[in-house]
Amino acid sequence: MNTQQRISQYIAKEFLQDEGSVSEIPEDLNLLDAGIVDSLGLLRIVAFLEEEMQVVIEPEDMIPENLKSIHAITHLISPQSAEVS
Amino acid sequence: MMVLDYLNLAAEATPDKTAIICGEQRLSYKQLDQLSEKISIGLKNLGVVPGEKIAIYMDKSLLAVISIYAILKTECCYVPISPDSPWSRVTGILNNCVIQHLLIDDQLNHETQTLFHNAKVNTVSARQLLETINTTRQSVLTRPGANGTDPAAILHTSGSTGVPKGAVITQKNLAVFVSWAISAFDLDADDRLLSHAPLQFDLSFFDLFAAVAASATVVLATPADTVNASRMAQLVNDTGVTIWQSVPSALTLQVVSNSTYKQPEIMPNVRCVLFAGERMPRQTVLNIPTLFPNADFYNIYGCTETNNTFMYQLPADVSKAPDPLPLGKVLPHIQHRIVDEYGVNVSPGTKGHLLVAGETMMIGYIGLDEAGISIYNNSNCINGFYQTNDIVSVENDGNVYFHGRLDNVIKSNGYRINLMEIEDQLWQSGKFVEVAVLCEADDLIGNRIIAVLRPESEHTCSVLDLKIYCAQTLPKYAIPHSFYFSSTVLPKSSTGKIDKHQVAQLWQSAVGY
Repeated sequence: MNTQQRISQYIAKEFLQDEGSVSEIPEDLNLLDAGIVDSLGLLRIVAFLEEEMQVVIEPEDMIPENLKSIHAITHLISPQSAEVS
Repeated sequence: MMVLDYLNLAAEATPDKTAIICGEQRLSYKQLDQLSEKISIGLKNLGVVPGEKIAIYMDKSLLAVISIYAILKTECCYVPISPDSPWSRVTGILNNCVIQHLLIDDQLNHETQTLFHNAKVNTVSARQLLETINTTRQSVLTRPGANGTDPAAILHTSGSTGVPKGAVITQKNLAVFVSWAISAFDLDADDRLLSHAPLQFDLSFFDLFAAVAASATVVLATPADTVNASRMAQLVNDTGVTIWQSVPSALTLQVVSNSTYKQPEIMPNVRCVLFAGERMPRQTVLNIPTLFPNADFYNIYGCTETNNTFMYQLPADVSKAPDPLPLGKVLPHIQHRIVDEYGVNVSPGTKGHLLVAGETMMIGYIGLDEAGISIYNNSNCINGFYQTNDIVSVENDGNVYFHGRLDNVIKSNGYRINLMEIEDQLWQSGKFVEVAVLCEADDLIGNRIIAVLRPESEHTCSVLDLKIYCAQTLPKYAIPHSFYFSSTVLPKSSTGKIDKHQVAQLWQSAVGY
């Protein structure tokens, strides 16, 4: 499973409680505007990325712009995830 | 003294003092006075007349605050509308208040511009007014005979039929509130007040107007700041904020973020932390002294219709505070009663319905009569007392405690949400034969919203589609957190209505509690 799929799966499971919808989440869907993730949810995503994907998110990177969609998150961590995989 | 009198005083006495900080931008009292004057002249040139309701469709910014003062200077009433709102809510507010002019920052995208055009609303760029108006007249004190009963602001809450309800707040309401705030927290010119809440939230009256009345400085936190705990702490420390006011969930975000990053973001300059809007989680109560080592903590209770009515100051050792925190004691300018179902005062220790009255209470909800004329409807008030629908009791310690609601209204993330409104929207999707929306207590955000739905046979439903559907029709904070699809008929009470209590049990067993 690649990075983007793992993030999709996490969001489907944690925020939609619906793993069946993994393939449906458009990668550029704004998760904040769609009411799927709120500010506490952003922290959960950061904790997931740090614990499960072994990347480090600097506090200053924790802005909605970087975490608003599956595409944005994948892009944010791509320099680091490329190293570990 | 009305709000504008305070601005005039500050602009005369301390013209160069910083009134507002937003990001890298600073605005002095003189600038705030002159720029708001320019926009006011621009509005008058456009034919705006005193008493008109003028909408502000902007994110929180220097220009938005300048616009609020400009509207008040034009002897009009400001109606903040969040650009985040779904369009159905925007039109509800526009119709409700008969909005003719709407102030925007600079330009709207074509689609939104067309929507306003079709709604017959004139959009006015505040930025362009600033650039084109050259003259400013000398400030004058509020016109003689300025009426305390003039509407100053209309804030919209969740309505029971899906139509937002606009609480009309008068000049006098604001003036009484501001003078209470100054004396209750000893605000002075050295204070820096954090503006955390959005402008359409009544919490913003404190940051915007009490700051000016004390010739203090207000620090605007933008949505990009409030979502990131590190940025918030940095903003507070860099700008020297002394007074923090927010909903509890904002403080919870700071506490949770600290445990994520394992490095406490201490804010030593803050001397007062005020939280209002919903129940404060115990975990947050216990952890806030670490973040604010030099602050006193206040739990404040009220609603948009009445503004703040009760306050509880936490003891120095916060762990000694009752759990949950009490609403506290009634404020000096507020009268209250706790009554039974017959309207008779209950004795201490007995639960009853809280009624409040006082000089910060709205004149009513804005509405239209049959001829389309604006009226103020105060059917929520009986004998001058506003019915909060909150069930409370006064206990031996003299404090008032909250026990629940008489209706379907809940609090989540500090927002007041009517569950019926969410049910209405889900019905309108046409996908379901049965709909029940309920809530479950949540440690961090107060309440989680749960929608239990029985789809039409043959229909398959996706949580993702429903989230997106709700996001188009409901405010973001009202989108259910969880959806559960039932293939069987929802449980009913003996009267044939959906039994929410049994539905809650169905949901709990489904998720494995």
